Amino acid sequence: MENEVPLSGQSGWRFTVRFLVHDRAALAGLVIIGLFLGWGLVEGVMQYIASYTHVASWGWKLLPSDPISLSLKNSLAAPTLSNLNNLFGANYEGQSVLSQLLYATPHDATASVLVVASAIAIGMMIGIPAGYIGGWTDEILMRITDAFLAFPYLVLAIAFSVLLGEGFTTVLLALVLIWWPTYARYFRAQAISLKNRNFVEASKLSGVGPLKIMLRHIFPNSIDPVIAQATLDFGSVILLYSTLAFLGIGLELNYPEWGSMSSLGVSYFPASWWLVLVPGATIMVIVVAFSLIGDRLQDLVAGRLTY
Amino acid sequence: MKKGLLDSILRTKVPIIRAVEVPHLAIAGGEVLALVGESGSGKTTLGRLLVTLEKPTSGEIYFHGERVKGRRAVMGLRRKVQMVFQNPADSLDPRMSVKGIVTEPLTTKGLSRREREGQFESALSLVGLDSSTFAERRSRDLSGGQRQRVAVARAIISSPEFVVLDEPTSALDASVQSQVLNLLARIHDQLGFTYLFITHNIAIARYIADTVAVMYAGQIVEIGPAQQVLSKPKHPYTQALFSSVPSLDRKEVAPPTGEVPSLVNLPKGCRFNPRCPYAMEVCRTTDPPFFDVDGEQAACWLYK
Ligand code: SF4
Repeated sequence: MENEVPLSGQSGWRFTVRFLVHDRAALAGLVIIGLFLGWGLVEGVMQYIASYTHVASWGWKLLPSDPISLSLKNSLAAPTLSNLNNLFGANYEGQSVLSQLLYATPHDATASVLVVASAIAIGMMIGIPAGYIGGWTDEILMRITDAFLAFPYLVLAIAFSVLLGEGFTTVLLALVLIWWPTYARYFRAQAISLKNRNFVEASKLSGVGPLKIMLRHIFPNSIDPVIAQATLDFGSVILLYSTLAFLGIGLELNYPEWGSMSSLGVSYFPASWWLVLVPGATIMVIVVAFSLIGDRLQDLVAGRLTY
Repeated sequence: MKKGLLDSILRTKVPIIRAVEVPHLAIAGGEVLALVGESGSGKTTLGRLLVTLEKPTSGEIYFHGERVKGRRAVMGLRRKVQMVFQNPADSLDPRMSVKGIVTEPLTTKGLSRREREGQFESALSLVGLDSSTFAERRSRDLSGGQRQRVAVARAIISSPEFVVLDEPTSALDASVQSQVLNLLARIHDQLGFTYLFITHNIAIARYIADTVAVMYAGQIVEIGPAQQVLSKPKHPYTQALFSSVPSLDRKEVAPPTGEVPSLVNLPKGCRFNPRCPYAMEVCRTTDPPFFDVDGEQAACWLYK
């Protein structure tokens, strides 16, 4: 039994960050994700300037070379350490793989952040009322959710992009459509376990209405485990986004993207192996980095919930 | 109770769990009624019924002579009742500050910030906590006793008329228990709420209660003035319960031998008859009503 000494002084974001930094694997993950998102932001701003000023070259000011125009004498150059531009080799059109990887980063970063954030928002709006109110509300909301979950996600994504036409937004919408039901389920489970806790009952007794209880008590207390899960999902979103691009769904082909880069490289495999392996390895590194952090966060949440 | 799909197809009977069946329980304003019984006797369920956290399957609840029925009446009653739960760690939102927690009952009352502030300070001083030190703390920064004080502050801040205290001290350290108990007694003297004090500790009941009700297997079997019930128990169950306290040091309620019947499968007649040394023919067939004995009431055929 507890005594008159406070149980733990460790808590909050500062504690979480310290925890992650002291774990080497999680720290490695943090650094990689930091670089990924940081670069995504910088390069994203550059590309925004390019489209705003109609001077396309702004988009590759910071890159070793222009990732879009042809430069045929560099065609299928092998990776070399002596030339930064060809560090990861070049494709048939002579475009630097490094430049293309860096050029495509903002798209992958935006995709993962936007998709996960929207999926969480929708999942919350469906899952929390379903779990908290229960009864028929729960029945109806969860049947809808299950219908989405039951669809094979690739089929759903393809059908959706056929319907709306190709484009970045379409791909994002399709991904959100695939992801929100999972979050609705998480939030529902959280709401169900929280609604019978004494602190929720106490505020019911204080005359607080259901909407306020959901906003004030259920949501803030269910977000931790969901965030831990979301960290794992960032990687999965990038993977699926690349898979769609690899299958040719989504972006226009002349626009470099990690998935479509390795897809185009398949015709030159295995002679020009770098065209497939370099973008593939990049995706893998990012996915693993996210899951390193996500795993640690889940440990943390599980430990925190037992206090 | 809701039937599952499979049950309705197979036409199986869902057993109805009769958690509590209370023929009649009246609590006078301003008094402290202690509800005593073993764990599993339905004390907590009865407390939760009275504050509308649980819906009665049948029967009625009256507050100031008015029947509590329908959403509006329930919401109206909720403004006048409060509950202090057994486990203070679970009864405070881990995400909220002490101030947020304690003043939550005021948010539905349309008070100004100033007024809320003032009420927060006086509520905290009533429970013996310094409001400027504790206002911004979270539940995890508090000890068990402090948490329970915060829970009490929340319960009294909106000046309720009726407070259910569900074993408010049993999750605390022995040394802290008496402090919190004294605090509750003092608050009652100062503010005069009506308390329903649920406990399995006879010493606590003796210390705080005006009236004692004893519960067995979901039913109240004896009710009367505290002194009388505690010193001269009438019902055979109460007698067995209290005599099994071997010395004055052991004050916890210890059950008589035998088992508490499962609430799904209750014995016919008096619920205590399988364990009762005085069981008669009539006990096995008919549930005893309350009989008056020496100014208290006992549900036992011995007092017919
Ligand atoms: S009614 Fe009969 S069985 Fe029940 S307590 Fe009284 S004597 Fe015992």
